[in-house]
Amino acid sequence: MDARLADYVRGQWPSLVRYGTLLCGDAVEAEELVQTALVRVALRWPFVRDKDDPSGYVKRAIVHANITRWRRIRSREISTEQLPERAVADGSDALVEHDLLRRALAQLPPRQRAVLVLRYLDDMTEQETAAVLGCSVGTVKSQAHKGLAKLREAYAADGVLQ
Amino acid sequence: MSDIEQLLRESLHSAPTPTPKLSDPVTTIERRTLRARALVAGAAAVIAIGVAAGIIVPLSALGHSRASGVVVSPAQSPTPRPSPTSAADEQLIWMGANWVATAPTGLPWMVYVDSSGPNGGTRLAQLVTNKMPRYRVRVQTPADMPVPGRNIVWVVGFVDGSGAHSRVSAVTTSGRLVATQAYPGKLLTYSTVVGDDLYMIDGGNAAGARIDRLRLVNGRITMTSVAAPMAETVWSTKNGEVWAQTTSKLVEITDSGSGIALGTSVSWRGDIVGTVTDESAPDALWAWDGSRLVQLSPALLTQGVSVAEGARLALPGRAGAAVSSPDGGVFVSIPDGARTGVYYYPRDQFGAGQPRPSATLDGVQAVMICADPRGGVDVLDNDAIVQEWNPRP
Repeated sequence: MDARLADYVRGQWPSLVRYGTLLCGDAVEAEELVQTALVRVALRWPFVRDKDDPSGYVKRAIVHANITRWRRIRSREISTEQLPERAVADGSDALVEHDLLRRALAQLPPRQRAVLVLRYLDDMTEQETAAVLGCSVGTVKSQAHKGLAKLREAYAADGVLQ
Repeated sequence: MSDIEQLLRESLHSAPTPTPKLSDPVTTIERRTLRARALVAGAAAVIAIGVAAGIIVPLSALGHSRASGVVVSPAQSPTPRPSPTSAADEQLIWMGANWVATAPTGLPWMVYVDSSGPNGGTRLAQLVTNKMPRYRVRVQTPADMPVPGRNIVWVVGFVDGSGAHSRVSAVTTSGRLVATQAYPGKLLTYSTVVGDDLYMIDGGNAAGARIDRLRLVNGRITMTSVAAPMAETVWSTKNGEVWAQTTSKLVEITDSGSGIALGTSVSWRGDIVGTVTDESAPDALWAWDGSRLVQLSPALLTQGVSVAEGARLALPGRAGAAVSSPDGGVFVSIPDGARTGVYYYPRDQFGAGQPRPSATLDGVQAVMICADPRGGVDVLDNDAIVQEWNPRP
């Protein structure tokens, strides 16, 4: 492995796993997801333009790996109406809100989840998001709209957003 | 921005960082990359004299936006550094190749992106002796990998992620595009060819992998397939046996008359790194058993490993790819670690306690190596440069 990529992996591994967790909803699966993406990056390393800061390339690889993974397991993945467990207030409303929202996010279909992570974590435009996901801007808009609506419903159900 | 959007943004940015279970991700990723490269490099295991030689390719290793091909003079050759003790000869033959593979009956073929104006595009071309490509057949994308058979050169490409799809084109060895076929939803990744039949792994199925066999019939591409849920790669031997590899087994793919079927299954956990094209072992594949390169005859594994293993060669590092030499020796690439490079071992070194290569390309990180009909190997390195290496005795 190229020394620059190795240094990047060593330094960014936890944050990449965090990113993967937000995308796929599971920290354990996220490690496998990020590994898969990094192997792909390592194989394509000669063609990575910005070798000193490959974050963008790596994150796109993780997004794509997650979509590929989802396509393979979609027959086994079931979105549920109800969240599996509710957060318990611990005195910090903000923490509870964020935790609830991330749980709700994890229940969204993978593509909606990816759209929301790219739009609101990576601050990508709709056009950039469409390019990464290989879909139209219209699809990004509709997926984001549906995803946000479901999050809003989940929050309303918890009485957080009324 | 609405409340929910603002909350979502804050929530995503404040998400806790999980404690990864993997303490040394670099080593793990290097190991997995090495395995993938071994499969890549195995694609090169087609020797010019082979009748049914096989190649294997991981298309996931390929980018779709490579630099356009540029012919440069051998004097500009930047990477190969023959060791002072070797009597090697290497020449740069192409820059910017997507992929290169040697045909069973001729010169190497490559896929490259020609970005020279409106007539550019992805092209299949044959590298001839004057280092200039000929034919330059424009093919529809995705098109990543040439898979040369006896009379047909297949070109395979795929796009993964959402909207995954693949495309296969068939071009005659005289450079005429015969057929092209898109496969929506399919992820046609690893492939091998027997005669002119193309075998591929389709990884795009929710229920698991399938093996597809493509055949050109009356100018049309026809497909038959069999479910092989755990299959990861597919290889073929010189005598035409086709073997799918899972993490722990090799499963023979047989012709059922009306299609293809799963045949004998044998246990094998090592890597497969090439096709043995030596006449003495036409049923064998080059395999890495963890410490040695071995000639493995999969069908004989039912009688025991010691029966199935032929020639053995201890190496200074993990083998990424092996290519038989017409004089009975073997070219081996070690793509990672302190002994990264490409090595040539004469036949008399097989079985030696401490085998010595007679020539090396020190430090060259080969993405793949493939047999060159002029006697050596063509090496595609990490910079997309193709070089011919022909060690002289």
